[in-house]
Amino acid sequence: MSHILEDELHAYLDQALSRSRCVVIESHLASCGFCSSQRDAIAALRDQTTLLLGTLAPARRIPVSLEELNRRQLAREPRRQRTRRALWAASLVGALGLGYGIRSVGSASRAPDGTPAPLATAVAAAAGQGMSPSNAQSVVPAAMRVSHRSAARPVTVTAPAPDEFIPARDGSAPPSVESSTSALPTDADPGLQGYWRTVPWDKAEDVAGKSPARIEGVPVEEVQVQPSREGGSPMMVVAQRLSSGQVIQTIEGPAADVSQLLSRRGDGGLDSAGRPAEAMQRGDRMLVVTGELPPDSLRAMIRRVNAAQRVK
Amino acid sequence: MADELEELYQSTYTAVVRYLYRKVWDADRAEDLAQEVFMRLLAHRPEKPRAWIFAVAANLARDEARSAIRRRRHLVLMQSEPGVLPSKARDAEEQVEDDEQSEQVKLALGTLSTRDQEVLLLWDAGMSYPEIAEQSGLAVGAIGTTLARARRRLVEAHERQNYHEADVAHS
Repeated sequence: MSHILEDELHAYLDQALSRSRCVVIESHLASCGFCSSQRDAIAALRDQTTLLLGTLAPARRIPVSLEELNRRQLAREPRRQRTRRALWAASLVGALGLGYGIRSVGSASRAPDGTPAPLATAVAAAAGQGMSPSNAQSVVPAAMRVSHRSAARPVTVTAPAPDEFIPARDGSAPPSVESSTSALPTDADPGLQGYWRTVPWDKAEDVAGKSPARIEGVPVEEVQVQPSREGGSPMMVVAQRLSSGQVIQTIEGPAADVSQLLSRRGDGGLDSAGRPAEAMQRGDRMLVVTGELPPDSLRAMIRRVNAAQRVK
Repeated sequence: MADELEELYQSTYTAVVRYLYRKVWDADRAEDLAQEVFMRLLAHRPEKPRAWIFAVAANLARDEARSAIRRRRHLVLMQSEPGVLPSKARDAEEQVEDDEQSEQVKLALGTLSTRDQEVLLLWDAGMSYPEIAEQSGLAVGAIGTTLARARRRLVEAHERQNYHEADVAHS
């Protein structure tokens, strides 16, 4: 039999070999002086290693009892459970929020027949009425994104033209649209539900039930209102003319209706430079500003909010 | 189960502290980490507790190493504190000798590769070859080879340290 390898002698001394292998090695060691002296040298090396490592030990102390450790562990447990519960709740809220966000965008791009998407939450109105950068959820609806690619016509109209109007929600044919301020109704006429009405600024709040969203400090040229069928917030288009002659529009209403209006117009809310309209959405309500505005405008603010949201 | 854990604790705790001490070089920290290991053991109750203990200890020691610089600064402060005094049972000269010896072994151990160190320390902590193999990722058959090399190199490196010290003292 050939000599036993060094690593096997280490394993033999460390009692890491099978019993049968130990028997073979021991019988060899009994008859082989070389391997026997090798074993002794390795045993000495092993002892020396143990001795050296023994100097690298901290001073012995009385260990804490296992009961004490168990008590500490149990004291720590509720904190861990609380953390786990908080994480679970946070993930649930996150999942719900994600699902709701997807549904909101989906409903904004749906409704080809004018059927309004269900309102999931009560929505604060528009800028200046509770939709602040800190609490607003900002998205650009899918319909708008599609129309941005397909259209390049600049925004020059002051309000939706008759052929651009959203059809009646109850399916009946739209009546003729009042586009002249001389024939403006002074109160909300239930017979015009679902259709656009053009109202003067000083009557807009009475008709719409609230002050329409607009850019402060810019003269209002025209306000068009589409009352909600079920008593909810209406859709409003406020046209304002800048000193440069450029007309901007602030459109606020149910997200599905607003995005459908923009897509039907064909320009998708592009401004004269071909830039897309800026949109903010909270729940099922959407606020869109079309047309060119100076950098310190609401639109610029919305863009900043959107950028911040995307970074988050 | 409680008795088994108690027995395991009694038989392993010191080895875990020693193992951790050789990783973090701080007795207090090694104690803290060892207690953390056993508290986790009580919470998890793993199937192979012995191997699990050393695996967790190795992970905790690794985490410690990430803040090594900060800890080293802290240690310097601790060592300079007057409250850390040699044991009354031993005189100061013995303590100095022991410290020098420890320092030499520590330096010798530092000359080994990380893998050799790990295998050697796990073996010294009383782990079996299969347990060492499982934790180090080596084949069981390679543990003997690794241990043989590590032991030889540790002793050789320590002898070199001794010669160097003797030379310095002589000159």
